[in-house]
Amino acid sequence: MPHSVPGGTAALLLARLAPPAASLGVFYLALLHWKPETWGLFHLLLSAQAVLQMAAGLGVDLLIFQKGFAQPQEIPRLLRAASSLLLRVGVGLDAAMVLFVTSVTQEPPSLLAACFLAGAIPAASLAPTWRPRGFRLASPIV
Amino acid sequence: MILEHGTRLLASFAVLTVGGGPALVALAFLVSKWLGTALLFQPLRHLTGTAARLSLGFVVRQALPFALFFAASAFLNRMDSLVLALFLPLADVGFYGAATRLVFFGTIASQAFGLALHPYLLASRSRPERYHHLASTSLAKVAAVSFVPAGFLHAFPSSTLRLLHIDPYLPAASLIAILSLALPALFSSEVFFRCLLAEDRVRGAVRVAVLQIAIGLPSLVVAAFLYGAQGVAMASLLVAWLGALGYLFACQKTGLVLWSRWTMALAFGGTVTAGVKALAPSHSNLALVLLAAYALAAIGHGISRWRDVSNADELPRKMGDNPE
Repeated sequence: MPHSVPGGTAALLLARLAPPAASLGVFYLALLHWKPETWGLFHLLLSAQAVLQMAAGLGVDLLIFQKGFAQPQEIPRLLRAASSLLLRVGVGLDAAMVLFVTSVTQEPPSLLAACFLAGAIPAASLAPTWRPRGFRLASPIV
Repeated sequence: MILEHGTRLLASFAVLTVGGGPALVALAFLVSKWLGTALLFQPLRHLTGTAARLSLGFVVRQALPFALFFAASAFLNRMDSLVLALFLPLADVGFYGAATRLVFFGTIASQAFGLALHPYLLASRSRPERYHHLASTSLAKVAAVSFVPAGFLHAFPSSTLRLLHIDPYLPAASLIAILSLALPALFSSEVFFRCLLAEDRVRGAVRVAVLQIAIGLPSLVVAAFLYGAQGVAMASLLVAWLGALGYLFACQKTGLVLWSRWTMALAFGGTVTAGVKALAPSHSNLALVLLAAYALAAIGHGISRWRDVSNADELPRKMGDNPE
């Protein structure tokens, strides 16, 4: 057992396995109740959202790199501000998608909401556990 | 992290149970995301000492490749669905989405394995022989075990859907049968990726991801246009195996010799999968028994060999030439 295992392997495994397993449970509920068309729309919107959020995160990373050379002491503040901004954008996108899908389908909005929330769980769980020492990127935490 | 996920999950089930209109739904989103993210971002408040480490070399060698890799991975994981939506109706996208969710759920296990493997790789990095043994053993076991879900889904896609009581999605069975063959590649890629991380070769992973996009995107478009959802599934399969091979060659460049054990594991697993597939139509019970026996053998062998990882005396000596 290497001494460098942080926090215990079991806890790390739980953190990685539990969220996708839970989200699969919610997705399974949706598969049970939804028509394929609704599932397709949902899957498509989630895919588009994931790509948009990651592109936004990458843009923020590049901006931080650029600013960091000129004012390195500002990096922690920039990271916090970027995280907050990305969060607002993500929340806005989620809410807009729920309203949109609810308006164009006949599905129960509560199930839609649960599925969109569950869609965010694996995205968050895929945040990297390895980072360069002392540095956090904006893109993985959207 | 666990608290953050738990908050979101509780909120989702609360909304699911209570129900409500779109306004309530949106409100639940806002509250749960803010709560969850507040927990997730708590460590950022204590972020100090970053300024001294941000140099041009650091950004070019580590931070930027890492950001690029995750952006490319996000696009890779989603581009098939986006391309499919350009050419086919939403129902087909739904079948494809259901198939990918079911098949790729198994890759979570490989990610967890990679997560647990990473500190072991780092700890053994100073002892090349042990490091090489750990990497090759892990790869062979992961590749072998991956054929268990792959074989089951490939041989029994319709039965799986019926077992889950989602009969309206039966048209997705053919997609599941195709996509399941990508599981060994995805499982193996996780070990390759962890080896590249341990070697600090994130740029190698970025090159592979870019290559996957460069070849995969045109392939997906052509396949979707000509063959529909099944074509997209085939193209996704191609992209997955292309990625595994790319990662393998990137690892080989670091001095690791993984080819022989990997191909051997693939050969065994592929043979069993082919046997299960051949037996399944007329002898489904026998096929299931064969698959279960293979699963027990693969997992048992993996566990027994895993316990011997610390014994590095009889290991391959190929790492001696590694300049690092």
